Amino acid sequence: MRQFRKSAMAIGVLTASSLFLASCDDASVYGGASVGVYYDSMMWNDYYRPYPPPSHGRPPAKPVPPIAKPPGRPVHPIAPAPPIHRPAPRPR
Amino acid sequence: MTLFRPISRGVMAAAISLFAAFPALSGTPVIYKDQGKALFQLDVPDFWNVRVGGARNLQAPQEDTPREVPRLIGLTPEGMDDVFVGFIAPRQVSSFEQGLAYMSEIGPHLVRDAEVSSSERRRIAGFPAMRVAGTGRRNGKTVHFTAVLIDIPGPRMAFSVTVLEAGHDPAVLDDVNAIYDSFRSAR
Repeated sequence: MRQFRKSAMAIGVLTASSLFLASCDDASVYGGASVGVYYDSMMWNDYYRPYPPPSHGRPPAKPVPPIAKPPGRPVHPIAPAPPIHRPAPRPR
Repeated sequence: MTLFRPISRGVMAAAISLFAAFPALSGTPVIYKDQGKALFQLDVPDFWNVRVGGARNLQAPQEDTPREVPRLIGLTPEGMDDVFVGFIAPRQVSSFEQGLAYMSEIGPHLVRDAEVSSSERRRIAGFPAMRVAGTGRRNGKTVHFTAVLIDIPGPRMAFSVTVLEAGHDPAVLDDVNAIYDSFRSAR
């Protein structure tokens, strides 16, 4: 009987401790809404850069993958924020 | 037993001082690859988020053709949305002259009214590097940016930019510096 009381008390203390710790933990998810714009801005910078100079010679043939790819390109899961800066059209 | 106690205390003290002396060792390595080739690597500090985008096709509004942009690694401290560190190996940038042009282009993309306040040549991870720092505005906030160009072995250069919005926690700068301290060429 005495041992049962000790076990019940230990379980009670553990439950109370875990509830207390859980209340300290913030369950919300921090978003990258703000920093995401800097990520996208770095990509847009490369997008607006001048075209690379024409390469001489034939580019090396791409190896054929052992497993055929599904048709069409996969849609990127994160759409970039629109650019805040648009340089002059680059020469073609 | 009596002999063991002072030894174990000494070992514990040494271990604690080692951890304190090398905080940069507590990161997770990330390797930047382009077209299957490893170019450079860095350690992501604990409790930082990593966003890795591969080479992808972008199409700007009112543009008719999509263009490919290279892989970009973005790092942000967990729970903070006012600090950003990005790494990229831009194509067609293989010299400091081209890198400087790249730096001058990226400012207006990151912030409005970008103004350069300082620039210097230095070495990072033993490689020649250039650092340009300045300020601007984004989303109504003052923003400090530091752009770094690192001449890694081979025909490519690594480019990085750190963006700190006004009001950021200064303690996060230790982690940012640890990222740059961990930078290594993968070649």
